[in-house]
Amino acid sequence: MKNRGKVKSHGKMKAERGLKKGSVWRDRCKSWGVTLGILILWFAVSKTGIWSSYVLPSPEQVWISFLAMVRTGVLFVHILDSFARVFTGFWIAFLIAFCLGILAGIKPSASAYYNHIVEFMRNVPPLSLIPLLILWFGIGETSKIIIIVLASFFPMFLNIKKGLASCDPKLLEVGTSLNFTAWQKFARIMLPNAIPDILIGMRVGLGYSWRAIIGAEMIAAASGLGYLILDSQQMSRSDKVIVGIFVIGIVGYCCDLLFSLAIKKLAHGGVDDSWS
Amino acid sequence: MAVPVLTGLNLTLGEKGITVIVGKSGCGKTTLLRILAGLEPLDQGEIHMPGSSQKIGMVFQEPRLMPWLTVWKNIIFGQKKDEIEQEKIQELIDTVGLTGFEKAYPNQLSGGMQQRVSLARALAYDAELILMDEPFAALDHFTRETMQQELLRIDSVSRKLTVFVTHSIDEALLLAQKIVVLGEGNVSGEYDLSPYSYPRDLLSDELIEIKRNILEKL
Repeated sequence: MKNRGKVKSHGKMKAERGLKKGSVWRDRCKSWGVTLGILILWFAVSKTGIWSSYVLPSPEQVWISFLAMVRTGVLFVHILDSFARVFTGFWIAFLIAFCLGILAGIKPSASAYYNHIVEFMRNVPPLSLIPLLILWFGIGETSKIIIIVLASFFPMFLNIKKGLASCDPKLLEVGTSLNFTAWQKFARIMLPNAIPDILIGMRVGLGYSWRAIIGAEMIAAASGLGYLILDSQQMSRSDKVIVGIFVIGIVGYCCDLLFSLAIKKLAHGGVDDSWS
Repeated sequence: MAVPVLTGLNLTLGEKGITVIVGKSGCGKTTLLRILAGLEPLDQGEIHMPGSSQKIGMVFQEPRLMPWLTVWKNIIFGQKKDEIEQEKIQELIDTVGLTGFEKAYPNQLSGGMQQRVSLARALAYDAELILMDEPFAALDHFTRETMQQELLRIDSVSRKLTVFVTHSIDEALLLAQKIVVLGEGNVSGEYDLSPYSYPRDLLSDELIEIKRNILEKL
């Protein structure tokens, strides 16, 4: 019985993994093919000389400036500066969202007090607050971190609240039948049940904060990827602008990828489809 | 508007063995069980529990397992950390026929296996009273038969009081040492089946007679 059960499930998993591997490779070929196609198109168009190299820099030109920026280390300084701001702001936002989200999730009836304010704030782009933030906090780090907090707070708050409030009362009844205290029911049923939602909120929040920091740096900063783009524009260096865009996209993409991997590990105990 | 479900109900449960409550759907079987489990408030009346401890194990109609926990962790879910006895849990897992699946997640199990985990969770909790609310209703015929035999075997070993709710008279006749018939929010009949040994033949004259009797009272 013991062996049979194990062999069966392992065999099945292996077969599924094999199947997945094949389709993963096929998908990878497809995505790289399209990327390569775009690059070739870009290369061909810039070679024809329809547009000047200022309007559309060629791929080689972009690559050369990229290498130059890597060699001098300027690029890494900008990446690190942006990253440090996102990191600080993101965790502050997470802490606030977690505490408020728990309160909101446990007491859904209290939403009448704050629902309209949340909806109002959610529809105000954080960047629109920049004039006031500069006025109140100057152009230092504080105003940029506040932008990130504002940008990433709402997706996290709303997801944490939703995750806790949507806990199946049937699972909570199991806790009641096992003589759990209110705290035990929260810590052992509601919170673990909400973890997928919390992680999804964090992932969306991270994406939002990454976008918001670039905007903030374009308006009020002396370093960071947003500043790099704006500075290059003022120097008429379109190639550097494109380098900045690429770096932002790739760094954001990698962050999201790492986060989704972490979600998979955490929420599923390393096993696929363990979550209903 | 609150509708009174159970009125004038007076019921004495035994100290051990399997007591089965049968009744039509909507007659208050589940409500009675939920009141016993403390999941439903009592408008009027009293419940006296035997013994000092109030530990009650409940098996719901659905498995109600925590999807983020493995089989093993689901089974020890109700226990305090220092009370867990590894061998006892392993024995329990063997009893419900889940050997080798300790590290599986609920979603990887079939409905019958999930229900067995749920049964093991209630048994691991070490309750004096085990309440079962149509636990086998959602299972297919063969799994249900296996689980019924399993329940009888576990009962013969553990000798706890089990209160089992079902709408199937056949299931009641197969399992019960005592049958309580619930009709219109009240007890309409009680039968002592302890003289009949297991496994029972539902086609024997005495059991057919009892079944006819129950059907009249429902």
